[in-house]
This record gives sequence, C-alpha cells and structure tokens, in this order.
Amino acid sequence: MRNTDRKHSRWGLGAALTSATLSFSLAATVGVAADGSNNDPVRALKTESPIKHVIILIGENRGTDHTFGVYKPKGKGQTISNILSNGIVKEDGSPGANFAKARQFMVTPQPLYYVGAPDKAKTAYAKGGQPQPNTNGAPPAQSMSGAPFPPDFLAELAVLDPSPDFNANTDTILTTGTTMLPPNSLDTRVPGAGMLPNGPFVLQGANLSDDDYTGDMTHRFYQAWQQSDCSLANATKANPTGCLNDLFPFVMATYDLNDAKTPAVQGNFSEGNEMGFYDAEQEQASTLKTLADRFSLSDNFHQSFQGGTGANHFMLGTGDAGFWSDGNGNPIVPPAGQIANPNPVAGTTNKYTADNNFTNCSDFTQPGIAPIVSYLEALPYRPEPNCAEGHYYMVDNTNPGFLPNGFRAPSPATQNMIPPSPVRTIGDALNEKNISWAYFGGSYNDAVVLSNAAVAAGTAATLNSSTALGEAALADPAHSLGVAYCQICNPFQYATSIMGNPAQRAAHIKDTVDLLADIKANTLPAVSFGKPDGLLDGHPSSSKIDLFEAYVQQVLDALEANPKLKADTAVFVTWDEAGGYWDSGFIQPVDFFGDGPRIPLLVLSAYSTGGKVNHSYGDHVSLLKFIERNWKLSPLTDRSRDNLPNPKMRGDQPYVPGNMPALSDLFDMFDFDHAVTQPFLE
Amino acid sequence: MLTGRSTLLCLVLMAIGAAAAAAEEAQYSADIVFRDPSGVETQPHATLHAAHGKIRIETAEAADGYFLIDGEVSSAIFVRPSLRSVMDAKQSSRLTRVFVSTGAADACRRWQSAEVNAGLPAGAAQWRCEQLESLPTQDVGTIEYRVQSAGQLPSERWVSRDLNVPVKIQSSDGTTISLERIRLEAQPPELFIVPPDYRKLDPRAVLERIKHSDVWAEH
Repeated sequence: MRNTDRKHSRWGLGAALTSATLSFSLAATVGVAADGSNNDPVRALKTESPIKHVIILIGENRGTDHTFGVYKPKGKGQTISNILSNGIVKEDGSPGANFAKARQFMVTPQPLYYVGAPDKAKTAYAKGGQPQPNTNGAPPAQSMSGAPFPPDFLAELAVLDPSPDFNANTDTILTTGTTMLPPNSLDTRVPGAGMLPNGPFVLQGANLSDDDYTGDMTHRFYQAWQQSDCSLANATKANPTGCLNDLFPFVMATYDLNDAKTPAVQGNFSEGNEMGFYDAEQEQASTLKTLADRFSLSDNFHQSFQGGTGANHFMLGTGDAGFWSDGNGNPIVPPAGQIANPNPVAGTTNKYTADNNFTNCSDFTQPGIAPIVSYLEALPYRPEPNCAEGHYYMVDNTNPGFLPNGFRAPSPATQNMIPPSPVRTIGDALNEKNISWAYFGGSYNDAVVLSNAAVAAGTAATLNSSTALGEAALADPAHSLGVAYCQICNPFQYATSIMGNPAQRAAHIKDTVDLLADIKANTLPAVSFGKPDGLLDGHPSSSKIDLFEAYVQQVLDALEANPKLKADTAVFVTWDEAGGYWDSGFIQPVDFFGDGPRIPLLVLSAYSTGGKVNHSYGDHVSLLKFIERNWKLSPLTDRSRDNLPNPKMRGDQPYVPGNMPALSDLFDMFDFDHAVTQPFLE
Repeated sequence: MLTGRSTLLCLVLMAIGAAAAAAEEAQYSADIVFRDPSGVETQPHATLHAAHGKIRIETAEAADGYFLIDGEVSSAIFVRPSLRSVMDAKQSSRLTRVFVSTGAADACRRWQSAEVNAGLPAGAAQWRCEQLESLPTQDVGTIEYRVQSAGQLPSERWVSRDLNVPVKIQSSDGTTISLERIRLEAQPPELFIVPPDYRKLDPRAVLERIKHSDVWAEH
C-alpha cells in the first residue's frame, strides 16, 4: 500500500498515447483539422509570450518546507532554500546540525496583542515540552461519517457525485489513511510523538505517510501574524524584516486557551501539528516531486494574506482585500459580533478576546491594529498598510453574499455572510478586453442544485449558505456533494459584477467537469482557475495531500491528451496558504494583510522545464501580474497589489528583493526561447 | 380549462384499453413525457414500470440507477445496481412523489405520505389536495385532483381509475408531465427487487466530513 510506485502505477496516465492517435481522435470528436489545428479564438489574442492558455490549480493548506523541505533540485546547478539545505534536518528527516535554527518559543503573558514578542519574554521549549502532534479532526477510522470511506463506500461517492472529481484516480486513496487513534489525541503514528525535540518533525513512519489523514491546525489572520514573530529588533541582512517564525505551536496552544479559569480546557487541538513536514526525497508527495524535477519550482512564493482560505483566494482574484459594505459598494461598520479583538483576555496567557473575521486597520485605536501598522512603518521600505478609512476588511473566512446559483442573501449581517463586493476582479479586467476566462470549482453544479433548493425552501434567505446547502443536501442525496464545493475559494462569487449578473455567472462560473470537457474540446478559456472540492483539495484532516495530487494529475492527464493545447498552456500549481504549517523562509510584508509563509508554486509548461528552482519573490498576486503582462492588461485598481514592481533580486541575498515591496510577475520562471516537449508525468 | 384535452382523452382511452386486458393488478410500462405549455418536449422522457405494488422510474438525470416507489407506504429509494447501493430518494426527483400508486380514491393521502416520506412539510398549512367534481364532458376513466404542495406550483392531476397512477399532471404554469405510450405487459419481477447485499447509504456522512474543512464557513 505504501510502496513508492503506487501512484504512478495506479493512476495510469494517458501520456503514453501518441500525438498522432490523439489528433485523430480529437479531430473525430470535435471537428478539428487532422493536423491538430483548430479555430480556437484564444490563440488569436495577442500575448507577450507564447503562452495562450493559463490554468491555475489551487490546493489547500501546504507550505514550502512542509512539502519540499527535504527536496534536492534536479536541475543542474540549481539550489533551494529549505530545511534540508539549511541543515535543519537531514535527508532522512531527522534533526540536522542546525536544528536549533527552527526552535520554537513560549512567551510570557503580555498586556496587549503583539506581532513581535519581546526577546526577554521568550523561552524555548524544552525537549518534549513542545506541543506534540495531535490527531485534531482527522478521521479515526474508516466509517460512513466521511472520508476515508470503507471500500464499499465508494459506491456512495459515485452515486452522490457524478462529476469527474471522483474517478479511478481518487477512489482508491479515498479509502485509506485512517488514524486508528482517538480523536484529538497524541498522534502516535509520528515516530517519537510525545517526546519530539523542539523543531520540525517528519510525517513518516511505519504507520504514517502522505496517504494518511493528519490533524489540522487553526490558520487565521491575527494568529498567523503572531506566529511569524516579526520585529525589526530581529532584523539581519538576510532577514531584513525580522520575522523569526518561532511562535507557531505557542500561538496555537494559547490563543483559545482559557488557562486562568479552567487551565485544562483548550478550545482547539492544533498543538504541535504546525511543525510536521513530508520528505520528498523519500517519495512523499511524489507526484509533486516529479513535477518539480521536470519543470520549475519557486522557493520564494508566498501566501498573499496572513491566515486562511477566503482572504487568500480573494487576494488571488483581486489583488486586494474584501470589506464589509452596504452591498452597493459603500463601506459600513459590520455587526459588533463580526469585529476582531485579538487582545488577550485578562488573566490568560494569550486567549483572544474576540476571534472574529473583520478588522478596521485604518484605525490605530482598534484592537490589534497598532502592533502591525507600527511594525510596517518601522520597516526600512515603509510599505503602505493599504487600509482605506472606515473599511472593515475580511481577514478570515466568511461566505460570500451570493449563493452558488447567484441568489443574493438578503440579510448578510444575520446570515454571517459578507455583503456583495464591489472590488474589481481579474475577471472584470479580462471581460473588458474580451479575453475568455472561467473559474472551475469542484462540485459546483451540485452546489447550484442545492442552492436552488435552498432558495425554494426559504433557507437561503435566513441561514448561512453553508448551513442552507447542508440542509438541502440532506433532502437531495443525489446532489449532496454540492456541500463540498468551496464558496469562499471562489473570489468571483463575492463580486457583484460577476455573481450578480446571470450572464456573467453562466459564462464564467463552472464545474471541474467543464474544465476537463473544455480541455478535451479545445474550448479552454485563455485564463482558467481550477479548485477541487473539499474532499480532494488536500486540506489536512478533511483531505490528504495525495488526493490533491490526484486532482492535479486528472487535469494534466486531460491536457496530455491534447498536445496542441498543452503546447501553449502554462499550468500553475499552488496552494491558498500554508495552512498553519511552519516555514523557514523569508517573509516580505507588503501591507497590513500579508505576505505570509511560503507556499510551493510549480510552473508546468514547455518553457519551464529542467527542474529549475526560481528565487524571485512572489505571492498570489504574481499570478495576476503574469496574466496582466501576458495579455497586456493594466493593474486592477490604483490600490491593488499588482501595482508593485517586479523585484530586483540580488546575488548576495537571493531571496530578498532589493526594491521592497516588490512582487514577481513570474516571467522569469520561463525560457520562452526554448520549448521542450515532455510528458508531465510517466 | 384544459389544454390538450384530446391528448388526455387519448391517454385515458389507452389506459382503459390496457387495463381492460389486464389482470386485477395492472402490470405495465410507459414513458413519462415533459412538455412546455405549447406541447413541446422539454427534456428526455423517463420510463415507468409498474407491478407488484411497486413503481420503478428510470430518468436521464440518474441514468446509472433507478427509483423504486413502494405503493403501500409511498416511500422511494434510489438504486444503483452497478455499485450495489441504495439510498433514500428524498427529494432528488419530483417524480417519486407524483407517480405513487394512488388507489382509486385514495390519491390525496398517498401523495401526502410521499411528501412526508421525502422530508417535505405536508401539514395543513403546506398541503392542499382535493378531488374535483367530474365535468359532464370529462372522461369517466379518470379522477381529477387539484394539489398544492410545499415548494411546488399548484397542479391538477388526472388519475387513471384502472392504473391507479396519474396519467397527466398540469402545473399552473402550463407545463405538463404525462404518461404516454402505455404498454400493458407483464413486468419482470427483478425490476422491482433490491438485492440483499446492497448497502444503505446516508448523505449525512459527507456533510459531517465537510464540516471539518475550510469549505464550511458558517461563522
């Protein structure tokens, strides 16, 4: 079950098919010419590069060191900054000579929220004293209560979801990975669990691999800033922003710990999960490794927003943050229960007063604002916080004001949904230039059916959309996997201009099934965003990294079967955020909202081959910049992050832009003068 | 009042003719046809089989399986033979709440039971069903009902006295669902049997797992 060839052998690819065979079959089915040419209007659009199609695939919650921490670049002369190259761990994942560089610390109680802990208040965890890995949320056994499903449960999945999100690639690994441990308990599958030393540990052992569900951890905005532990007092030449990334387990252990009154009661069980990583050199996440070996990987790409899913996807689609409004574009104050206050409750170590989703960062007097803004202002390059007056920004997961079918929630304030957003998206910019695009969300079609039912039942007008779709799913088992469609992952579902317009919605918001069909039929838009559903997105606890690999491979298989399309397509594979996983990389704060830790970025195209590792600094907005440069678009707004210049990287500090704040447009990850045709995987 | 009255008459005559040649309990198959107010078919037709107190419906929307309706209790399940699974149909298809074995004069109670079994509110506030008086011009082979159920447009339904199922449903927007091409013939018993090794499945399972993911953003 855990043999190293399991994925490639099990997920037999279409790569072996000859282009001649494929050309013939496509010509027969979609009417293209026998030589493979067609009248794809996308190819007629003028582009700055040979790339005519972009597909951006977004997984959930994996960081760079977590995924590629033990990875040696394949390309000749290539280097990477990770916990292996920095001597923090050895190739087998055990502690290396510089293991202490990754030490994690505790902090004595402070009167107010902080993002840079005073040095004298910090104490390193002793061996075994560091919070240990926990099964938090991971399924304890195969059951009917969700993945992993017993083998016969595959029947249910196929019944529930006719979409290709579930297929031969995924059904087998959906049955595996149970913890066989009690919920919220010490994860004894991790070798040494209970007495792990202070630092990162490998998620590998006799009963643990990348095919196992592991415990999740909280990953929210104020927690993430605090975990990064940024202070100019810590700045060095190689780390001029002074982010030490050394409070990861501590913040998880304390932000919800009511230790003054009931010390034994903890609100979450993230504990030490932040420090887990996979060993790519020992065939963990082997599909991703193979792609890195053959194509290009960035080791200086970052989540654009500190914290979680919704805000990072929003930034990916807009280069900006969403804010609470009256639904007509005017900022207003959200209900008090939506406003965050990360200041500690008196008498606790670090328990947040109100762990809520919106914050007005233009107001220094509001809780949590001054520590971050003061830090930004102290940075030598003085990044603008980019906080407009009176705007309460969405910093944590909040469902859009539109349901998947376009229904507009009438009472967002009471439904815990954000009113429809006026923030301009990359979709709006592409529309203005008549450049085709689409967002393909797994299980979206089912979600629309459930939304229609929720509207008919009246629950869409009163309940949060997650709850409303959940109730509809119980009434309509045939479409119940619509609950796995990720609403907060779709930045366009927030936008009035897209979601509030039936024609726009129909043209641009689609399902995974449509992505695969478009690839096959030569109707792929110029710009495509692909997001798997909640069972396949790779999120710890509710999914696994190999399930996301299977999703990626499914898309690549389809592309492999269309060589002409593949030839001018760039596939970007990345994640929404690191999910709370610790990372050793440099962080460049560019405004109040981020950046955050590194996440992997794989660039797959004929022009980005050779196992190269790129060090130019980038984040999600770099993907927008690529699109804008390739199709000659302007920055989205005068405040969006895509206005930032490309970084001027220096030889002596290869990870620190010389002109901060700066974000790469990723063009330097390609060699457009040399196309190399090779299979994605074999 | 009716559109396509002649069509209805033909349907009823076919049904009566078929029933006349049938045994005491009719066994038959038919097509379920969906039309807009102008009579144009709006989607692929479904197929209905009836025998042994059960009705089986096969639809294009769920091509890999079929719905089974138990006439006695007006409950429906969805069966997928290739995957050896069975699940409560609930509200996955409106057809399972309409094509129940109504009994000659018991239609309202059976339909109401089907609504309840599907998880729909069918109390006094949500449910209206009444048998209409026959018009002199109306064929005596059917009984006409007017039905108002939760979340659905009001409809009029004509139930065949001999087949004990509706042969036409006309919603207030003019769309119709009708039973056409009725074929009176013995039905293989296996069409109505769920093999004992099939698993009963519950969608609440997936919902509980998703609540552990970032997809679920309730607060």
